[in-house]
Amino acid sequence: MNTLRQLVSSVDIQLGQVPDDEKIPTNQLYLWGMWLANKYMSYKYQAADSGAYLTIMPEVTVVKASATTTPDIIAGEKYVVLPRNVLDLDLDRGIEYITYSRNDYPPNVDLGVMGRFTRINATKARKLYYSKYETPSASNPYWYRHNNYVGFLGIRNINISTVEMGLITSFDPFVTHSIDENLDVLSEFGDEIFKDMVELGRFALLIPEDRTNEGSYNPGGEAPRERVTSVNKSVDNLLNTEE
Amino acid sequence: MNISQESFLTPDEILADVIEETEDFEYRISTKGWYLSQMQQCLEELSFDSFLLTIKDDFEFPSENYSLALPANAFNVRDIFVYNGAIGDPTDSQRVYWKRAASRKNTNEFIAPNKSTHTEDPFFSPLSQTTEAEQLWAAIDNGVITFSDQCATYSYVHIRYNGTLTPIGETPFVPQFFRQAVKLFVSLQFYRKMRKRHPRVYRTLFNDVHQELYAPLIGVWDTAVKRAHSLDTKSIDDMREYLSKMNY
Repeated sequence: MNTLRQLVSSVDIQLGQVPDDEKIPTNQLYLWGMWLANKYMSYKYQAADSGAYLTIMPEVTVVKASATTTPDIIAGEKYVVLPRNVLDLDLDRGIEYITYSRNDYPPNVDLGVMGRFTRINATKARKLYYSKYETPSASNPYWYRHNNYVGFLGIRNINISTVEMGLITSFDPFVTHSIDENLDVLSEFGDEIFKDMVELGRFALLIPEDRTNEGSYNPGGEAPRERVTSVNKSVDNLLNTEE
Repeated sequence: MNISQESFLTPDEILADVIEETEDFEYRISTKGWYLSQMQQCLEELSFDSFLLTIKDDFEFPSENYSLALPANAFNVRDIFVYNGAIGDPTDSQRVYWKRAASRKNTNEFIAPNKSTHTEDPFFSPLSQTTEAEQLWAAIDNGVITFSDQCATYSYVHIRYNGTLTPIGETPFVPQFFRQAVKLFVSLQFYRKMRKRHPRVYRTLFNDVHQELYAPLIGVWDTAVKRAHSLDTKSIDDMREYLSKMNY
């Protein structure tokens, strides 16, 4: 069992060892935890054929827009609103699959038998109409993502109320109880995430008081005459370098 | 074609192997329609190379203009007959021969390089024994078969032609002996189009599969065409016997 609360707790202890009274709020640590967990989940998902992050939403309501609303809603188009946040991966792999709902099939059908929607993007959709084999239809339907919506092609003339979606959901620590749920990615990448969080903490604590922007500008003194050096090279190194 | 209609493979049978190779299980890189289109194109190519499919078709004689458009998937006319009776049920039939470069737009007259009415032609002697109007002939021009006046005395036309196995837009069913060739062809087209996106991965795969498919004589394509040519054992054996009897 690995939870975000455990991770944040251990990072908090680590960052609490600085000898002054600077403190990073716990909420911020949870936010960083979310970033990093999602980052490593994304790596893991792209490298491994795993169903660990697949969430099946059996009945997602299909909406037919009655009026156009800018942006994204077009009158007459059928679409669904993404029910959860998904990982944004190449070729929209964050949406693993979309099929017709099981309600529209005889009982006990398997996942593979149900009519699948094929992923396309809004630009390539034009090309589908060039070939008789690819033209969208109810037996060969397509979906495309735009923003937080998924639009459909080929189902304009049929009545469906729901579709089934398989989503690669991202982790959200600000949903009730989520910080105490098992977070799989921590079992493999816990050390990496811990190191990255401590690194972020160090960076955040490094920002000194005198770097704050007070809005005043006082260029006094002469312009620098020495050559400008990269901030990534220490002065000591520069001094020891023979030119 | 010497193959049972029962042993044709559905596109899904081919896809089951192809997407295993291309790893495009979700049809996210190419749509299923794209794969079907490639299968259809492969069967087209194999049809052109092997002349495998001979189709026999009957039509009413086109009495309004003596011209008949070839069916959609035809690409090579093998033989033409005219007959009376009912469609597909002749009471008498005659073979129609080809006349060079003849064409007509209506029933009135036709144009051809060698014609009995060309009495002033300094190079060709006009046909003298009989006129073309009394002969059964047809000419093929831009996918249209033109018939002579004499053909119009018959009610129906029977045409034998080579056609593609699957017309464009229809579900491509694959003869069993073409299975390997179709699989490799479709995979090759996939690698071909992916070469520009990931050249390091797909150029090598493309070259490997290209070699496997198109290697002369031993490649899968040549094997498939050879198979198609050697299928009709009955006709080949009988022809051998006729020829060996030596009294022809």
